[in-house]
Amino acid sequence: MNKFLLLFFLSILFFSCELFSQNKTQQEEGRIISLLIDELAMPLPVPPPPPKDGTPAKKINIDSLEKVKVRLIVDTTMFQVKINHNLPEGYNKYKSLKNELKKLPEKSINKDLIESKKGHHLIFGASLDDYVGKYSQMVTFSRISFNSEFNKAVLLAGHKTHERAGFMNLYLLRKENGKWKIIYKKNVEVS
Amino acid sequence: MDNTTNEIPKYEIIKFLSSKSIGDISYSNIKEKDFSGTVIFYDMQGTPLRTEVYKNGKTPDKHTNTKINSGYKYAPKDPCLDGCYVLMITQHWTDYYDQNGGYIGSGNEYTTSEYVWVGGSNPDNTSYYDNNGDVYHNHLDYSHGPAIGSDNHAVEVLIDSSIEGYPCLEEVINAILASNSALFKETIGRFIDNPKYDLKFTIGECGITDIACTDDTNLEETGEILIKFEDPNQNPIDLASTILHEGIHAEIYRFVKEHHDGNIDPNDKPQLFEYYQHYKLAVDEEHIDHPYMTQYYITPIAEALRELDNDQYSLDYYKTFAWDGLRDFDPNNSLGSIDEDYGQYRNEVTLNFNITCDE
Repeated sequence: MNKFLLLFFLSILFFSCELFSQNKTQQEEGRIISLLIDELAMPLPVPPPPPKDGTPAKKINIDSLEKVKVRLIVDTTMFQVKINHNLPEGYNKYKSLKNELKKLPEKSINKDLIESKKGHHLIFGASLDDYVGKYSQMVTFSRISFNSEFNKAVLLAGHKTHERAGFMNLYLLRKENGKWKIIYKKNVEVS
Repeated sequence: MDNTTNEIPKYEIIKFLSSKSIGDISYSNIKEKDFSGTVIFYDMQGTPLRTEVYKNGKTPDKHTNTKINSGYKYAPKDPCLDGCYVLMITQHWTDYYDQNGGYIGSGNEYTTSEYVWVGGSNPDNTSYYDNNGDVYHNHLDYSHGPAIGSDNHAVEVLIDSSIEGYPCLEEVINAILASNSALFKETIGRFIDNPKYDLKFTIGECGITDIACTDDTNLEETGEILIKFEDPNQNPIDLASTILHEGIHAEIYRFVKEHHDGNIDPNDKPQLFEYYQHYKLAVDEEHIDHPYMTQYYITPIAEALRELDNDQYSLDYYKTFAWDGLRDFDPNNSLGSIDEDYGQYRNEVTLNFNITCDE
């Protein structure tokens, strides 16, 4: 009887740990995606370019751009990474996370844990085509690979305004004082 | 010699290529001598007939395309994990000496290229290892080869064999490669005869788009840029404008890397860096190509499309295709009424485009 009780409590303990890990993963995914939404959102149309005649360009008022609230589609699927991306020297601690990333199958994001701290208007969807005329930009995220302490993470994230105008970056993040920070970014794809 | 039933014997020339000493290797003792390398067969006029690959005397399961040096038009498949073909460029020079044996000079006669097989990055007993224990293969310069260190890669714009199943896409790519537009020369053409970079067209998944993308994942390590088609079944004019659009991204990737390496001509694309400086805090830096393209590449894309279409319509008809993907990056509203005026003719131009891809 005691053996059954022990097994029962061990099972409870195991499933509690598993549940804790799943919840923790979702929470951290939500924080990282929220951070990158504000990183990637871009006011459109873009400000005037430098004049072609060589005269000095009118300086862009970055402060006013920072205040612009954009309307943004957040892709509801975190895709599976299929390509191997190399890391530069100095980021060896992220190598195993990057390798792990390819093993993570796609899954849905948890919308309840995602927000824009800059106040951008988010809608969750699967395609730009579904919101023509209403939303002109979309952000997409891969699965996120975490270390066991949940203080290092690797993912791909991208932004597009059209099927022929987008980009995808590889991001390495580290948690410092409870906040995620981007410590490395590399563009891997543009269209 | 091939002793056929005919009375006249048929001769072939055989060339052995290996990164190890060839010694007394012959075609009859390849297995006993555990030969690893490439064997190319030629007719008596020097035309390659077929290619064989051996790894410790045996033909490996992968990368055994015997037609690779005899007119096969696709690039070898990647990745190079279990060994792969790489293009070997040979410049043929003649050295001249005086009657006393003193060196006078050299004359460059011609250049040839052949695919040779090299060991892959999956370690095995035929692999070479660097000081860190990683598997590698070298690309060594010839004594008269380009002075670019060991980064001596294939001098080609390559069509991956994955394109083989999409004849329309292949036809459009070949039409662009055969074209003479200013845009082609300035973008995709920059990869031809450039030993540091490869541009490869391939079928593949893109992370951010469902149509096509330009991938620089391997640019630092191998000099390779991929133009990947996720949707190879677009109509011909959309395929053409996509290729031209992605070709501009590929050239900008190449150009920026050259800039980082300190190798650029300051008179080449001076406005590009001005754009990066101007927009660096206002536009995601990875998007800065796009407003730059609206200002400097709309007319060149339209001209290149018009050339492919045998000048059937006026230039503005093609601008509506050139603007695809760039309308959100039109800071001066330079698009104006073109979309309204000529967008209505999009279907007509699409239907009548010179490249029809008919069976």
